Amino acid sequence: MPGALVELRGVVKRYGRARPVLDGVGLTLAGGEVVRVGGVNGSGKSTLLRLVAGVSTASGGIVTRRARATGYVPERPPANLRMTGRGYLTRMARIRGGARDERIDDLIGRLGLADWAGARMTTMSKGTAQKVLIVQALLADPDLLVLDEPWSGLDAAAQTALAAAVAERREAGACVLYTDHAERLVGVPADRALLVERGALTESAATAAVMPMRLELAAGNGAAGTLAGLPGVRRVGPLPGERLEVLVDPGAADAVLARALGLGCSVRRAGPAAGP
Amino acid sequence: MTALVRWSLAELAGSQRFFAPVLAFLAVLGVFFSGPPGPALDGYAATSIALFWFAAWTAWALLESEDDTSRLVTASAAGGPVRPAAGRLLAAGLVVLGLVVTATMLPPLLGAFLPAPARADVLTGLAAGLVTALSGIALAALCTRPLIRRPAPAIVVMVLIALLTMAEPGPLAWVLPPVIPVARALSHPEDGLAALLRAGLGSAALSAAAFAVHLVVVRRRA
Repeated sequence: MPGALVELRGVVKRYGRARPVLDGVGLTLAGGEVVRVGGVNGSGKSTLLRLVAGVSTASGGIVTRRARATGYVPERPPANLRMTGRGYLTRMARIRGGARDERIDDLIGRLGLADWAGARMTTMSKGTAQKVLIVQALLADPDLLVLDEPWSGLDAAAQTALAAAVAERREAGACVLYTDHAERLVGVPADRALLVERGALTESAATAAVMPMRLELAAGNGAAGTLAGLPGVRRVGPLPGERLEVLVDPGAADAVLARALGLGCSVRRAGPAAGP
Repeated sequence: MTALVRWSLAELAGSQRFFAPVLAFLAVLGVFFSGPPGPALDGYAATSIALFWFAAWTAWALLESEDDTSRLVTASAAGGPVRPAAGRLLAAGLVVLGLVVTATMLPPLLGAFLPAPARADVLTGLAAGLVTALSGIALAALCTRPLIRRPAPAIVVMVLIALLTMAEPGPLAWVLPPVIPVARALSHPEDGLAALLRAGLGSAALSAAAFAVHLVVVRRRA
């Protein structure tokens, strides 16, 4: 397909002499779409993502990749990186061809990593290390973003920031491919859903509805009216105990959160709205 | 590629896996040169054999240092798994170069050679060290992930090949690293330069083949 960022045709992947993990898989990924991959443990989701990201090689079939820059977040963080988070990010940026400190700082701030950037990776919790990996994946403004269970271990604010980043990449024409065990789409507007089952890939019905993010705020004076008028806010409603529930488009969540904090609100919860 | 080499060196430094082989190598040099001073080329013959073993050990430590998950991320940043693998090999070359320079320069500085070596002797020792150390890196490249995934079999294979190299069995000599011929060339200087050149060419050819195999397997098994 012309313009496709990645095309897989009849792709087989096996490890050693075992039966193939993927067998005859076909897939086309275009810019500007978010695609969710589901499947049970061991079904081959991570293998599919590695092939798409170009970090793994197919045992058979044809893989055509036209992505300019690929951001990849593995299922779990590396175990033994004895360097600081910032040191790791700087080195990864150099490998990508440009160490832009301001870009690193911006992403560190957005993912809530500022207090941890100077800590050694080996001392970080799984969620914090996961944030570092997400930052490295976003460093090059990738046109192909591959996320293997990226929500695992992330706090609510980081989930919101990641959802916003995914929405931004899609707006910029990038393709985002992610796996997730949860049925709901964790705030990310998936355009397609794929299922990996017994080595085969099937396409589910379109899931075009954009799942909003849900913010639960301890409200400041007059916050509800102001927040309701912000772009991307779908609904503002009262909750018991002088709290507010705000449903907001993922791409606008960062701005709305910042505005809410500016209005004196404190964030009790932030995360995906429950599915329909 | 510079960024990838620096990444591998930083990763190795953080892991501290270099510490054991480097310390052991310095200890071996200390044992070699703790006796009365002797001829330079005889000393370099001994260090060139030691360099083969310790280059293999040090290079193996570096090539094995980064875990599989980290390799995936590095590969995504570098545009695939082959360039990081090439970067690891170059980084191993740089670290081992440090061992070669140490093995060449330290003995004369400590007065371990008598008479004091001529510049030609030092250069010959340096060349001999480079040839055997290159062979050591090549051996490590064949005994590391993804060619041999588990450490214990990898170490066993590496030690067996190194022992075979020392034994120089006739029928296999042409596919084994030319380590003993280098030491022999230094000990018999009458036809030393030509023999050293032959060994150098042999080592370069075998090493190029080993590195090519390593990179091809990295690409295929990624």
